[in-house]
Amino acid sequence: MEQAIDILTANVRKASQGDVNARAMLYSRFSQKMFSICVRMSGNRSDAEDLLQDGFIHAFNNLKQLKDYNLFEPWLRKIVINECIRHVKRSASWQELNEELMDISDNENIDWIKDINFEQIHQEIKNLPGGCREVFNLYVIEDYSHQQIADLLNITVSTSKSQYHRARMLLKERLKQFADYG
Amino acid sequence: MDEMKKYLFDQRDKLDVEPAPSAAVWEQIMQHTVPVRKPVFSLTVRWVAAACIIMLVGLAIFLLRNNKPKPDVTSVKTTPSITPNPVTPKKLDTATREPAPAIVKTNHSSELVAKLQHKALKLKKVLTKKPALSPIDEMENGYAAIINSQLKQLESTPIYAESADYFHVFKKQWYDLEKDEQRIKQDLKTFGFTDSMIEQLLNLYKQKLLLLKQLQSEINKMNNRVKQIPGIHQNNPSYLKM
Repeated sequence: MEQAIDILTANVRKASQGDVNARAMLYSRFSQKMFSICVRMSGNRSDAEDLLQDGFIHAFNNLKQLKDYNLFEPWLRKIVINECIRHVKRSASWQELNEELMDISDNENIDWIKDINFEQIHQEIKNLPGGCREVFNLYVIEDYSHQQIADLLNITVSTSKSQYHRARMLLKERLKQFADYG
Repeated sequence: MDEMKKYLFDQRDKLDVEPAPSAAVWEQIMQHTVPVRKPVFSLTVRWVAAACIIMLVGLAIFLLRNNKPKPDVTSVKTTPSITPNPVTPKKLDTATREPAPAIVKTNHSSELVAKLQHKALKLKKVLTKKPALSPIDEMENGYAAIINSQLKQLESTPIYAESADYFHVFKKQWYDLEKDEQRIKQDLKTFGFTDSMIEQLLNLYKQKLLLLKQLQSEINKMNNRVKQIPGIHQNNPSYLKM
């Protein structure tokens, strides 16, 4: 494990000095994970590729700003998320939902979700409608608060919460359908 | 507490299952990233040079210490001739002192010759001894040991639900890296050690390690997926041969 970290920091150092091979290695190591984030946020591979590309270009051009090379992955993740948020602000439209209609308890039993494989969950998140998909990703996967989401997406906290509830309801319906019928 | 959020957040790394993006993405990234001027001497080369200097100094000190002349044996050994021989003291008393040193010398000369021969042999061993491994060789041996260990682990991992040929892309990359390694080593023999060649060799070893780790990760992911799908047979797994 320590050796892996040493190799990573060595690669990041060399990449910050412009080494093409080191950059290629960082890309091959982290591209799939970052691409999955972009796909879940944007809902399609084509937009996700553009976001991934912009994220890595920004990262490689500003690598000298990173002080602790061990933190490359979270730093890159932040850059990619910011690219996704910029994309969302350009393209998403928001509708206010009636939160009272969202009848889901936070403490409900979720044992059913543990039987569903992660590929399917990833697909269903990706297939959520625009608006609630982005809020769901930021709130659940990236652990942003509703206040932070509201500030980033120029929406109200109430909109963020209602979009999240909508996403959760849809996800639950679709995943349970999959669990029941395969 | 939102249990669904907690569960998905804790397992978020397992959600990163989207197939890789197209190759065009990397090409675009390369075109749009700003090149940075490389320093003339990289840090690695400086460390290697420092290590070489330290080793040379150490070797020189070691050789000097071994070649340090020992005190003259004859002068030490003739002094017993002055003291009487404890076994036959009377004989020494009657004999004159002059022959005594000759007797002692004869007795000790063979010892002296043996000791000198032994010293010469040691010196010969030291001089003909293989020089200590250079930092480059040590680095190569280190990486080779790690790579071989990873390779053994990979080739002993069973692959379920797919044949070994499924990973032909990784195998091609591996073969390309092996070819590059041979080329660099040939260049090293021809042109000697240069900064850029040492860097290339280091990068190549790191790429090999990364490739093996990625391949191991892919196989593990695939096997985990297979385990989650009921009804898939896990008999007769295949094995990768790189």
